[in-house]
Amino acid sequence: MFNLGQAKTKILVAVHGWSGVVLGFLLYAVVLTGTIAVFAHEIGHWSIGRGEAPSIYQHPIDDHVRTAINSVEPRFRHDVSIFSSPRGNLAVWAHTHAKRPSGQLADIGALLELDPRSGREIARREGWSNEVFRETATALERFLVDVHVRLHMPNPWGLLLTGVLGLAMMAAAVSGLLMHPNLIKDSFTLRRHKKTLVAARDEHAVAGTWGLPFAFLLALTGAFFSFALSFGLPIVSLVAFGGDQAKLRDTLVGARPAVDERSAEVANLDAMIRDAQTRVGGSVNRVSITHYGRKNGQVTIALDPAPGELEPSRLVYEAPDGAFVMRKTRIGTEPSLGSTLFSIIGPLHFGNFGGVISKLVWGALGFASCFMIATGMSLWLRRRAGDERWRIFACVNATVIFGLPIALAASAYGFLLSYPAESAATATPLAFLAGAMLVISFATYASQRSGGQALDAHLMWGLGLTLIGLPIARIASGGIFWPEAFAAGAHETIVIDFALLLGGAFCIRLARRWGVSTLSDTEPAATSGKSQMDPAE
Amino acid sequence: MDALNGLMSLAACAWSLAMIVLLGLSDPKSRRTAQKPVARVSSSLRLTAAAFALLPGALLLAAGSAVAFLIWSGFLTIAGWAVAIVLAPPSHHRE
Repeated sequence: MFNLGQAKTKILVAVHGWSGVVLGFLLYAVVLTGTIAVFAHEIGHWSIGRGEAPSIYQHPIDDHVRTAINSVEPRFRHDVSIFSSPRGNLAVWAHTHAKRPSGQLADIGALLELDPRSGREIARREGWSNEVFRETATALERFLVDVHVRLHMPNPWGLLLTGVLGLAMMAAAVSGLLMHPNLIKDSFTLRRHKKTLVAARDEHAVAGTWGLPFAFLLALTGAFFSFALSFGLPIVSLVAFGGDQAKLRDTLVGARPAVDERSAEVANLDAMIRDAQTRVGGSVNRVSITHYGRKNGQVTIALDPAPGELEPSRLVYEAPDGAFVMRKTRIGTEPSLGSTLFSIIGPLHFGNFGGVISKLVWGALGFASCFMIATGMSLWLRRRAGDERWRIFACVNATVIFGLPIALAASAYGFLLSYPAESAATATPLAFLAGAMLVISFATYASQRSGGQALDAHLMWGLGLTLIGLPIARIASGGIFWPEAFAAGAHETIVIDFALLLGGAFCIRLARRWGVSTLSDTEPAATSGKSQMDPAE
Repeated sequence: MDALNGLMSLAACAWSLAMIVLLGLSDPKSRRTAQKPVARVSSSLRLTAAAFALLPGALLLAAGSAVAFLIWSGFLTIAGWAVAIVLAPPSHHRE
């Protein structure tokens, strides 16, 4: 596609390869967990066997919310958030801002879970936001997202690292595009000679060619999310606003309404919700009330994108009389291109803009990116197949590529076997660590015993069995069985169970093939394929 | 996603998939490597098929359906990769 000359191409190959080798494992971890995180909500519902729950806003909520807020301590009635709980119930979070003993500003309040039809209180927790929202039911979902977002590292280091990985992926995509002279011509050329360099090269190049635009897009939006919070906002605050956070806030989200401490009842929430739905379409996602019961109170209604649109909406109402104020932009106070772009970065990264269809497509794109990284590493190692110094790296590569999904599946076992006990939140990451240790121990043993031969096939066997065992563990640990799940409308549970069973069977089939192919393979030498490479290689 | 956008995405994906299959089947390099007879398909015909594969994207953008466009474009890349895998000769094949 681009002919840069041999010297420049050689430099690009080196940059592409070494950046991949140095950051490849972490990048693979982020991309694999991102692929799984596309279905995080569905996995969350699967893990607790949640059935289909209608929107909490289908029923009038005004009375239930008022009764709930009146039942909490008066000091918590400053701000209120209303949303759907992980179990599909009506959640009301009445809270205020306070300083922790450490001096850090945080939210403290009461979280009530109500039956959306009757308003009956199901659960209540009081405390700091990070304690109250440590919901056991979402432990698995949160763990998967947390590994993807910050590799389970503390802030801001995890975000910075995933941001750097996003940039590395963008660099790999661009260098990959520039260094392949026949990118379009080779887009269907896939030679599958056993374990040869040319086969490894084709696998990587074809996956890269087709997946390149979206690999770049997902890396760009992911890097933006990582850097915007950890790096971007503090820098903007310092450079453009001299560190004045209030001024930054007023510019980015608009000035706060003038202080008016006189008390005033909040107007009917159901009427405001109906009005918001009529104005923009889309279903209501969250309702927030600031300065509850005060004259300067405001109600913000967040709606999912209307059918066919990408941008979610936020409508603001005056709390005392329910009068519509404005449609709020994400950045600034006026509609702008920047605000629109900022609004659609989320849907573009998460793939949640078109229901299950867009999620399936985005999941497949994530899988293609994982495949691209794995085949890139495989290609690098194939070129160094005769080099003893890279033998250990080859074992580590197989351990990470096939072991990480096993460890992630182990985290699901940890959750399933401990839920609904409070310990599920701790058991989930611990089970991940236990799974990882088990895989590493097995890989170390196999490498010492047989030099790591067929390690990938053995780990693939392990992955297949681990996946097949998940639905069994779910049902054995008290989860609902398929007929019961079907009757309860828990279709996600059934679909994910079958996907795990099929995925496990597919892994075992591949493992059996790889096992046979390793034994019968007689041509692993790097040089055998070298003569068939393109000049760029 | 509403029914209209769903249908538009589905139709666009099906059309582009058909074009990609045609492009894959007539790809001279992959046919050569698979030791299949290389049909005499002119490059202008292949270019036309490629343009037809991309046509739904332009139509979806013109119709202002960003959701359908994104689903179609994501599907296009996955479909291209899948067609390349399906049309590749089996691993026991030797040049």
